[in-house]
Amino acid sequence: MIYKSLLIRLPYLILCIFLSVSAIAQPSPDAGKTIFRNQCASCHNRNMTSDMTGPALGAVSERWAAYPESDLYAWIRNSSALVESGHPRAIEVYNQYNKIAMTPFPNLTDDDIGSLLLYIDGTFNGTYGVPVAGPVASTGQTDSGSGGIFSGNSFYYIIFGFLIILSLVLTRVLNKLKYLTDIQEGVETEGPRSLWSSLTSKGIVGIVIFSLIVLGGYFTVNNAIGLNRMQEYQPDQPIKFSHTTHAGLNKIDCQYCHDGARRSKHSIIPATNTCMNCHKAIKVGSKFGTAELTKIYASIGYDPTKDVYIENYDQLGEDDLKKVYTAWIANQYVLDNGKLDRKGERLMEDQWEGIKSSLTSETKPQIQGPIEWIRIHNLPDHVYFNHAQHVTVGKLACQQCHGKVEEMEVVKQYAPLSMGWCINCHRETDVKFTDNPYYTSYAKYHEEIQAGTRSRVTVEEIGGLECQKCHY
Amino acid sequence: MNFGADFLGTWLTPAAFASQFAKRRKIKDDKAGQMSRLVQFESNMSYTGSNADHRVLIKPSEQGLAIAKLHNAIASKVGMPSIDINGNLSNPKAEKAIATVADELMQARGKAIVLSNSNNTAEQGLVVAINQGLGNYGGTLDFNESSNLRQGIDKQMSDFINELTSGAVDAVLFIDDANPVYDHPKGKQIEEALDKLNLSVAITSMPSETQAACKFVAPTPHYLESWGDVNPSRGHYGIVQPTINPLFDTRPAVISLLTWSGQAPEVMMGDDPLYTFIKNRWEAALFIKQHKYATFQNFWDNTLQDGFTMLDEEARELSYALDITSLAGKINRLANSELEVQFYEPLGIGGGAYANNPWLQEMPDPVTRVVWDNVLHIPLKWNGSSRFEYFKDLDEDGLLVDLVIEEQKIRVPVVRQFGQMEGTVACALGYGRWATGKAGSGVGSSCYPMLKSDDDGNIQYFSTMPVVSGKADKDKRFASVQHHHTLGVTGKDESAGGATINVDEKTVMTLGYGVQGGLTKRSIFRHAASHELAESIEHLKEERAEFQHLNEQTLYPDRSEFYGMGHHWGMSVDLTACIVCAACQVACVAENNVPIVGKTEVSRHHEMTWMRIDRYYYGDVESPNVVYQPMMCQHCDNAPCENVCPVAATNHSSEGLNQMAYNRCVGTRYCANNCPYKVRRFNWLDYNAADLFPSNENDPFNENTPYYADNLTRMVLNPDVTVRSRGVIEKCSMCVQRIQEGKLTAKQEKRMLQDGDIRTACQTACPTGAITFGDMNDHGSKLNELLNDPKTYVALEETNVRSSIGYMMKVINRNEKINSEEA
Repeated sequence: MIYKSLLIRLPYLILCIFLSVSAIAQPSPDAGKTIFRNQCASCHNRNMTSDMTGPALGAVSERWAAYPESDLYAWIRNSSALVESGHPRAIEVYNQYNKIAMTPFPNLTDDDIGSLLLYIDGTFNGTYGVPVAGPVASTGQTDSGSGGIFSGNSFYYIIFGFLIILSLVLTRVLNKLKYLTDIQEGVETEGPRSLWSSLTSKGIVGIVIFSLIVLGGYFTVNNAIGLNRMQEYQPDQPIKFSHTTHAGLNKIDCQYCHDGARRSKHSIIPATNTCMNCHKAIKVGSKFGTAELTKIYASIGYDPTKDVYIENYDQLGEDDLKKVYTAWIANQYVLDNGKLDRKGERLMEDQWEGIKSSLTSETKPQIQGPIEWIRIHNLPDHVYFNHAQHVTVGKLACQQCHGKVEEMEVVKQYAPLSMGWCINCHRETDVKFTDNPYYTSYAKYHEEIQAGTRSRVTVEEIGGLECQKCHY
Repeated sequence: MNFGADFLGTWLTPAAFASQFAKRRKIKDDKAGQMSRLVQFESNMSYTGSNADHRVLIKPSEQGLAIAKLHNAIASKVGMPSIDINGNLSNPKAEKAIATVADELMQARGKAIVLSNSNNTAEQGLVVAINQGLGNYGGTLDFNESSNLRQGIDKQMSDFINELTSGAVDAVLFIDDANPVYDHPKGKQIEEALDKLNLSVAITSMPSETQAACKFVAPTPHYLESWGDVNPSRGHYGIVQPTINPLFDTRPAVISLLTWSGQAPEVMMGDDPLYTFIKNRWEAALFIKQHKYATFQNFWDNTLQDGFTMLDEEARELSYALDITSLAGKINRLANSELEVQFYEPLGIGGGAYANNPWLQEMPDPVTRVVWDNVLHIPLKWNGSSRFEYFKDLDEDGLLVDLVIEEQKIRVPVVRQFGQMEGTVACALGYGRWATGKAGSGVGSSCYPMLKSDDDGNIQYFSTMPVVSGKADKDKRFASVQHHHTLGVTGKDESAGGATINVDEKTVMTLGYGVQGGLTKRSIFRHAASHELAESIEHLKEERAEFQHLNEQTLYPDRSEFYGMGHHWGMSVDLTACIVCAACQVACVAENNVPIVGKTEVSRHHEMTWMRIDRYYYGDVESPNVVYQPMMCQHCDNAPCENVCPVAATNHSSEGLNQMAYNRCVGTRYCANNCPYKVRRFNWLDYNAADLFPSNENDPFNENTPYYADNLTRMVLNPDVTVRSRGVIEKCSMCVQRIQEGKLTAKQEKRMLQDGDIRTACQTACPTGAITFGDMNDHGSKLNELLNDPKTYVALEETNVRSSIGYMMKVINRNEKINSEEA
């Protein structure tokens, strides 16, 4: 009976929690994350543990614990004001970080700052992003799980549990009945067979072992099929190239840069020359300023200050390169801020370090030379795939396999790229049959189309499921 | 008429000769009379000899006498002075053959040609006289396009060696991969003399014996890594374009020479000084010779696109005023020795320059079918009634014997060779290199130190004083592919104590007739003589009709409608045109990532070649004719292999291809067992170093890392073809990657696929056009024309596998008088 009452009460309980949470706008680490990304991340490190332009923010509340909370809030809104007011902690931090003042953020509300601090603490402690018990985290959990126990698998688990209990009860009843009939028929018994001995009988043990093998096999095979599948793979690239800006906002055609797609096997990662078509003119990015675009210039040897390609760029040392590109970063900073202050110098230094680390690797010690982009879509070696066949001949949109790349800030693998996924598409997709004279030799299909008995020819029907269309 | 010149194998430019030769051999059946005839005088079965209509056996030392005899026979007919000769050829048939051939040559005056590979000036003088007497100059022989290859003079080289050893030379420069320390008979002397010199430089692209003996090495790039130009024959100029950036730190030989001679600065301009240098040279020397292009840039660009240009050289008429009578005394004297040995360049590695190319080492020699070794060809003689008698009772291939000439001694395995003249043996040059790469070093033994010069200082490629020992040992790794993957059946031979034998082979060897497959009367290869061609075609037609009738009783469903749509790929192979250059086999290896497995693996029947060239002897037991049959997957429409695969890893495509899905294959090898053509190959080991388990890997050259694990070696792999791992079957795919590429190009260009758009790797490599690939559904295709030719048959047609490959029967043009005993 207790189950029943719980089942009835649970939805109400959930609803109550849900309403209570959504009615009041409370600080949340999610909101904090957004604020951090937009306003803080250009100076403060996202990992909260190491310094960047600004100090590491981890455990900031503890460091300010000796003062009233409003002091910290004021410090975040306008640090220079607090320094001028002679706040001891403020002055200490100001001196510690080379007397560079933080940009003021007067628009932040108390809730915003609360969210921000939650996010900072959460990230620093490793609790944010991990489902944990607690008022804030459980809000999200309850919210998404509002379907209750009747959604998903939990319903089946309950039925399953119920059946097990039922069978145990029935076994016990049967044992008792057997005992009674035995007594009635005068068969000698030592008492009713215990539940335990029924459960350890050969039959039951056999069934359990058999089902373990079947289940084990099922899970092993299913997991093995998924081995090396890289769906949702989303690595950080050496340059924070934004497809949202380029393909989404500016509506640049995919094949303007990935021009290999229409004519070859590979869609190709465009050469830096392609970037330069536009970025000779657009030299400061809308999102990252000089931080990311300068990497392109450093890779190809373009001096954005003088608008020339640098002669004998390959032979230049790192210091020469640094001079050229930090000068450019500094120039831009001066244009924006009027003068090159300490903050500007820090920014210059940081951006240069960013350029250096993005363009070099263990195998490529030099900054000069091609950018080592990280490949996302990679088919196994025994699969032959040709972009031209799909893009030029099949006239497929890029998004069919790659998803809405124009909405991806960081590109990820959208499709599973599994054989089942390929085959399925080959079954469902029509060949551009009547437009292309190549297909003339499929005379029978043409006759059927003319006779009106056929409206389409799928890839499968011209042999698109055969092994050696993709494996050879 | 040919005295030993292996012009289809290794003599001068065999690829060019082969295509010219095949033009007069591929004759439509109604013009069978117009077919050319090739008569070969030689002692061992050479590549050209195996393609000849007649082989007449003479000893190597008798070649001069035979040429002289032919000269006198011709001279008496055309009124030229004869020369004094005495002595007779040891083979009485040869005497009569010369008379018959002389008659035939007279009938074909101006359209005939007499060749000789002799390295004796007097003998070649006589050949010139014969050709002049027959009026062949201006007809079959053209000096306006003479070859510029192999113009060395042995005498000058030996003079140089004398100067070198006497201390008259201060410095030596070896260019163009010259390697006399290895391939000159006096190589040892050169090596010792070089040791005493202060300055010796080898300009070479590969490690070699000469390079090892030099003080300095100036490494050059491979010719495909740098610019270059060539002038292979008169009036014929080509530009060599680099295909990749140099892999190593090298400098082209020309630039080295220019730098050392102080002329470098003026050409060192630009990114590639060699390019600038060659372009300037072409402008100065060749542009002025042509009238087609107005500007040099235009001329250069067009030549670059075509790869070569033909320039009109001044026409020249050469004639010889030879003192014929004085030549008689200078031809090689008859030796009257019991045994003579002929040395020849093998088809694969030539004179040894290609010894480090494992593709060529593993390409079976077409005649002996041995890989990774040189062999001693020994004669076998039919006793007239029941059995063969073997030279020195060497009754097994692969027995080791010692070949001794004076103080030189090598140990080589023997091969019992049909068509090897009694009293002669033959051995290949080019082996036994000791300082080349890992593939070529230590393979076989070198015969170069055994060569001697004649009175004029010309090196003679035979010896009249060899001593061959009896059985000294047995080569356990002896690898001959002749008995691998045969169509014959194996069984127990009770007479030989129950040993397992190849029954077909045994039939040939004991009964003296028939061929492999002959026992069960299967239709594998077919041949005809041109004068009986009509009868042979009629016979073939009847047999095929019978097969068709048999095949009507079939369990297989009729799928003609299925294959009738789209494409249906097929191939035709002309056995008459196939001259066994084996280029197709190597092209297939290169195109399809077929791995090299090494000698030990081949000896275990583990060679991986998708295409093999079967060799069948027929006819005269003393000097048989040969049919070479390229055999690859037949892409049967009723494929027996497909029915037995438990996992459907091999199945049929709608385009008629027998597909192989490597990742699905579990390695039962049922398919290989059930294949009637025996063309499926199993990866017994991880030959390509494709998987993660070191114990699966093959290590043919006893290195620490497997051959294919090396990144440099892996550059050879074709990125469009899967690299197979251990435990899967593979076989000819009809170059499906090329098919797909051709189809895609047509689709992109929005047009129908044209006949000839797609060419398989083997077809591309074939110099004689023996292989034709195409679409059987394209009714106007060249392929269909060939498949409908009355000479076309299908191998094992009676088995109803519906093979997609048609073979055109081998036609030879015999004149039975030539080898007959009567005059």
